Amino acid sequence: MRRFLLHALLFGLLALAGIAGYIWHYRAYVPAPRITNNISLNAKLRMLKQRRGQPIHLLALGSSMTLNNLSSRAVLEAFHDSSYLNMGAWGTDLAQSFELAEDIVPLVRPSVVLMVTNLGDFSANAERYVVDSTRMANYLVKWSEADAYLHARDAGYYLRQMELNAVRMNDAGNYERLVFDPWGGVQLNVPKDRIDQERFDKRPPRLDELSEEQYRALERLAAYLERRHVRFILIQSPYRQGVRSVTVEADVAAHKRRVWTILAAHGHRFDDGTDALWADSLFCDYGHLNAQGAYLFTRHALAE
Amino acid sequence: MLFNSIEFGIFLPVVFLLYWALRRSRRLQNAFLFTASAFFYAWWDWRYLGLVFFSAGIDYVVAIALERTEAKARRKALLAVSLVTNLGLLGFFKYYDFFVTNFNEAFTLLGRPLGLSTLHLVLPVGISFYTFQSLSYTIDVYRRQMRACRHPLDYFPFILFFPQLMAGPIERAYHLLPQFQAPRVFNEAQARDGLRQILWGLFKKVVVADNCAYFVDMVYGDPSGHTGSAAVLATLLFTFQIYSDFSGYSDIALGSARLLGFDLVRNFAFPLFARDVGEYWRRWHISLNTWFRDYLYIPLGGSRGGRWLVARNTMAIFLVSGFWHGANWTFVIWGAINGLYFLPSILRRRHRRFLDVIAQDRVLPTFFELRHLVVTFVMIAFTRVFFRSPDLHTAWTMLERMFSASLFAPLGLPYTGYLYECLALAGGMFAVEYVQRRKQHGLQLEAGTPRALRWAIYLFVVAVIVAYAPMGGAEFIYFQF
Repeated sequence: MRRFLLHALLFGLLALAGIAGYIWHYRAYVPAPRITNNISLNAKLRMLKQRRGQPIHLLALGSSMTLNNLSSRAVLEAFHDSSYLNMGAWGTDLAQSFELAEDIVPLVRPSVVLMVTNLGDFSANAERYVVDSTRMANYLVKWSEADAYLHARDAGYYLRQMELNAVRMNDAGNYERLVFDPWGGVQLNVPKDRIDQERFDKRPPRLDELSEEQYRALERLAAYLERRHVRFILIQSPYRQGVRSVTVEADVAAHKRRVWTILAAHGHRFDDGTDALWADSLFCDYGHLNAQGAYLFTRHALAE
Repeated sequence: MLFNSIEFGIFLPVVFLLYWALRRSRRLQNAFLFTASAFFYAWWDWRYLGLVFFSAGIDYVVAIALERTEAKARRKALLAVSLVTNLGLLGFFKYYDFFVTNFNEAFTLLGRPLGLSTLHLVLPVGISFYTFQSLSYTIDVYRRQMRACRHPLDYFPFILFFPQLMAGPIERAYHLLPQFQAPRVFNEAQARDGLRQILWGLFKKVVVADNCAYFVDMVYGDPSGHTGSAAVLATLLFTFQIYSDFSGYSDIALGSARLLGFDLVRNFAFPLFARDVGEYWRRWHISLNTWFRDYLYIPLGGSRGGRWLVARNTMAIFLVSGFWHGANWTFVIWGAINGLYFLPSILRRRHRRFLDVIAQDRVLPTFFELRHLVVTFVMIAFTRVFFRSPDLHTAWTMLERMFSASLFAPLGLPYTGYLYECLALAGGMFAVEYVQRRKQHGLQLEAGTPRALRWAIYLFVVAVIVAYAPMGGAEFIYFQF
């Protein structure tokens, strides 16, 4: 028995030493506490927590369209206000943006909410993440960072994501880049030779693939922000020139009309980024702009 | 508490140390195991612990009463009490909503709606497993194949024994109960092999099953949105997933029991290498299939009698087995297809053609064996469409996709790099188990293997588990049954 215990202990220590070595190697890339199952949103929540107490007049919400296509530099130039935070995170559809707004807006009390969307944000989302309001509020207001890790303990998640984060943070040409500028934006810089052709050639969803639930969520979001006297600016993100066709144009036009109607009914503003042609060289894929594209697009949209 | 959780990683060593610290008293060890097992179950939902006690308690009393009486009618009545109680509880919690829904639909079709309401009951974890285990005990006592157990501290830990409480193996009282009635001596070789088996089980569950699940869930969640080739691939991956998930669970259960000095029955004997359906069913979920054989198939007449009787009995056990898995027509169809697969060979008395291990005295299988292996694998994988689909509509859509022109279209699945990794992991497991096919589990190394090599292999497996463990611990598939 003693020998068995000794060997088991020794083996356990060796395995633990291996894991400890792995953690040490990737220690700079420990992800933010797993408050939701969306790593980019978790990182944004951590950023918001760190900025608690500081005024945030401009708040950007939404998906990777907001995260990647909204240039912080252009926003600052347009509003002449540095109290800005981009809370855009991958995969956030309209329904989730509404849920997030309900949780975050009362805490932050912004005067303007910005959002960049394209048709994809209105499609039925198969991989939705869970927004647990209580958990999020606890993290933002009550828990310390250490408490949050204890509440959101999931060893497998942290170990796996550390390694992935190392790529996301060190590889500037990565589509999943997660190095935020001081305002929470991430501008993509995927080199030409690393463009993923499948992503680049992808077609926007057709009108019949869009979900009524998402339009209803936009309606609720617009009404909610109106009630709270928050100005809401929604910007339609463009598609690269190469994927624009008669069908796509017709779908986008119909979609824009519907979005405009919803926003106008609540006195909000709709900026159209598709009223100009955007060269393929400004894109990393069918709809995600590179840094130069994001700056030009944001400046164009907010100048209107 | 899940076997693949940090909590279990703490629970098992603590139980191991305290249990062996009490080795001077068998009863104390049993009492401790009973407490630990109750704690283990209560971790999931303490409210259903009462149900386990009730079911086990009825059988404890019935078995003692059976031994005290010789009157045939009274013995039959006592057995009926056990059967009605156990199957009644199982039927109520597992099948009530199913029958109500189907009766409602049938009577609505006939123009006489019943309007019965469903209860949306939460299925108590492990109820199908401990009910069958407990039932086998009273049936064996009724058949006078074993004596009733008098001491509750021998009997209750036997029903609640935590390694196999949630998803088997379904133990027979004549095999496991005597082990609770005998003193236990720590066996280092057995404990070491137990640890290896736990490690291999974790690898199968966490690395192979949980990673394959990502693509399987994606395709089965939206079959009409995927190509036929993706549907076929997802079904093949599910065949690996369900095997790795359930046999992984069984490996961890057997390994944990061995650490505590118990020997549980083998539940899987590398069924993926079966060369016909008969062999497959002798190697897959062995404890359930032998249960059905002994308590249903043989009492119905087994393979004695005419062809029709054999066909009826065969179909009966496959249909009941399907229904045992879940209150859903998909499982019934799954059982029926397997029954139809098996019928020709049992009617021609060819179902025991392959009793040895594939490539018994060779490294590689013969072409004949390989052909049979591939055909059997494809046939079994096909039935998994019904097993995995949440409803008949999904199953039908999957089959439609598989037999459409899109079968030859590109997969169209995202994260192809990750997909290849999953295929490599499943292939790796398949290869290791092929090499180890004559052993009890994939990590049972030869005694003469140098210690440094053995440890290097174990550490490598740990590293793969750490590297490939998906976020959050997924439940074992068989917990839902």
